[in-house]
Amino acid sequence: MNRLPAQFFRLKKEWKSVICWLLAPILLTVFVMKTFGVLQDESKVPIALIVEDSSSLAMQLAEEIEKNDMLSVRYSELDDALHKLKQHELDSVFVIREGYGGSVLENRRNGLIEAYSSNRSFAYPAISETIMSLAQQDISRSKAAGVIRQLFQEYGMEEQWDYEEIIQRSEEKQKNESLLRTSFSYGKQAGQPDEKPMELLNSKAVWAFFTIIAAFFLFDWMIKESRPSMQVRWLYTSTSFKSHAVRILGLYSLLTVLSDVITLFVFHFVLQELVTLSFILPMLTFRVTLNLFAFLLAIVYRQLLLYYMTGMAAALLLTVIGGAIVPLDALSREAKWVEFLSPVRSLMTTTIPIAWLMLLMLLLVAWMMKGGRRIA
Amino acid sequence: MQSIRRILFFTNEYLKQLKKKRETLLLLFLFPIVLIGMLVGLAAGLIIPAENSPIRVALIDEDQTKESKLISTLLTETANEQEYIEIFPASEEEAELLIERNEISTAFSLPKNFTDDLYEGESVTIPMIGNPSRPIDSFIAKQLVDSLARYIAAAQANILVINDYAKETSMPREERMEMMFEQFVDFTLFTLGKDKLLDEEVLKNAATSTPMNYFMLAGWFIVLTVWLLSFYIVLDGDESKSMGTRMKLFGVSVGQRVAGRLLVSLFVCSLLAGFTFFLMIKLLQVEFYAVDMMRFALFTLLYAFILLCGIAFIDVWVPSKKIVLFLQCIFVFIIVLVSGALLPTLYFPQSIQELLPYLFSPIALGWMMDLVLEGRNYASYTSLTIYSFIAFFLLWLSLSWKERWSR
Repeated sequence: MNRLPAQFFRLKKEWKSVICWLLAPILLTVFVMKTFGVLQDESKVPIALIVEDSSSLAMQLAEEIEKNDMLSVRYSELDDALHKLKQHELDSVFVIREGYGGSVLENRRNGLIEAYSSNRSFAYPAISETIMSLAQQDISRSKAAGVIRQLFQEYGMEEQWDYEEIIQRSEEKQKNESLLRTSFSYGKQAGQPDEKPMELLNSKAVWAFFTIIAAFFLFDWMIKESRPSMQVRWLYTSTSFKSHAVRILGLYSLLTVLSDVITLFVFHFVLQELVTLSFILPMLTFRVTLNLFAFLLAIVYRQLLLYYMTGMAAALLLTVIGGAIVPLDALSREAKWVEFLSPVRSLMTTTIPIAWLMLLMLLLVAWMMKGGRRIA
Repeated sequence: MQSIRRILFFTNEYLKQLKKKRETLLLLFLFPIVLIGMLVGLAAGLIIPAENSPIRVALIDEDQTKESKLISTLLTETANEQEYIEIFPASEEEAELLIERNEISTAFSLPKNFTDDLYEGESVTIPMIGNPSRPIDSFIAKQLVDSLARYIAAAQANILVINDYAKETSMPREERMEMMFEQFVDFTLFTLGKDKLLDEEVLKNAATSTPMNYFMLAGWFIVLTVWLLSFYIVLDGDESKSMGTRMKLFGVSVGQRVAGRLLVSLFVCSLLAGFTFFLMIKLLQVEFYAVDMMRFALFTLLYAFILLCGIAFIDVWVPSKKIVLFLQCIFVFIIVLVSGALLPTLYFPQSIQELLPYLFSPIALGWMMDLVLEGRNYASYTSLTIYSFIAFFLLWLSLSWKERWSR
């Protein structure tokens, strides 16, 4: 017998589409991550800055604010800026008040800067903090100069006091010596990337989303194979339809695992993601879970389109419950069980979705054991 | 005339088909609502517990000097004034235990020789230990401590400068250290009181334009969009080839059926959306008159029509059903994303913002927001009308071209 096993028939006919859907999640993940990265770098918060004071200190502050990567600063008239703020075209408006320079020199700091925000200014808290800290630096330096002046007065060295020199020295000190730093780590685990405790978009979650859709698109063979006109043929064969189906399941699982290996390489080399050995097992179990899920659902469905739609819906729901879009931190503190609802969550926390795997395995066994030719 | 009659016939047929698929219909109706509800629930879960139970952070003072004690009391006190964070002193063992028991989010310590290094200008690292099961909380705590460290570092440079100059004077060492401590306290207090610098004012254009209302309307917009897509897809059904040939023999064009689908989805979704919108208006207690309702309905219809044309357009041109479905979903997702329903358009990158006035979904959502939230009492339909004509024309063109080509 030199014939190909029956399981390969479908593959022979549909290999193009199968390869396409095996690789699509990888390509789409890379595409999404890259574009998102570019967009995130590019997006800035628009604010308006009005400089009423003409002293050099005020100018310097304005320059510093403009240098900030997060902000796109526009200079305009107050009325105009406030109008735009009301139209929600600006996030917030800052006014460096008349007399800013003088007040800083005299160590007065109350209400030197006016800040306007609207009730839809989502970035305002962060921005006001930034601007405040920039101004605070100037004021703090000037305060130090004042203290030193007093000191010199006490010791009769007043003629040596030089404002500019003190300010310069303080600036240098702050710049040259990174005096106070923080380091961050999770417990005593070694090998954790320290500098990035959180990312806005998780590449694993994006990949999981597309993979779930692709898995449903790949497993449509089950519906095609089990359509009534095909069922008749199994009456005359020695192997049963079920064992045939399970064999195809094995074949497709092998293919998907191969695509997962490629995924790991792509994660490592293209996305520069840290891929450790401990990630391989969760990924494998996620894949098995997903394949079983898609397979078992395919048994129930008759219509291809409805099946595809279910796949999309499942992808959305599972990634959302998995905490991929809104981080689940706060919720999982209250209710631990939420984590068990989605295998995506397991993938992200690199654990094994035992509950899902067990349940699906049981269902598969139950389906295989059940007598009769009718589909569940 | 004949063609219009056929379109009406198919419209009727599709409506009947929808009635038959009652369960699917219910699912379709519920799915987007459940999804959005879940997202909102999760987001609320993220924000609300943070208010009720603050992020707890342990502070380990290993230095045990006058200064480090002062810093810990100051930090504890300032943190206690805020609702979302609580800092309390603990020993190292206690902190480790608390992290293990998942009772705190982060612990940070003032290391040994903290004060001496600070005075001498040696660089000091504050180690923070996060709780791995609460990454977000840990992240927030890290941001907070980071900003505190930045403030202290800025103050510290000045203290050091004072120290340098004091060394030049004939001040005895004891006295200088005493003065340094005073300066230290002074600068720390000065730094923590930084909020006085700003004179803050919140502008309110209209009382209704709160973020909550914004996202409610945005949520409704997303639900409407998802409904339009799913109804259009479900109406497709599984049509066999032989049926298609029969239809063709009867002289029925694809266009007439597409028009039928489009009309039915438009009609059903407008009903559903109108109903939910009415509920939402009542819930938000927005004053909305009949005229506003008319304007709003017009915008909704125009938007829905353009969107459906886009969805149908993909349907016409792509042969594989899977890819059609996938592309339609991606198309809809991009439309929603660009509209500003997920993130206000204000925060988009500059390069995309320049495109916004030319895209239909931000225009539509923008006007809807203006009408509902800002109480605007005029509206311009020009651009959306032009777009809908263009969309209709393109769809009609590609349909008739396809028809001729397949003949």
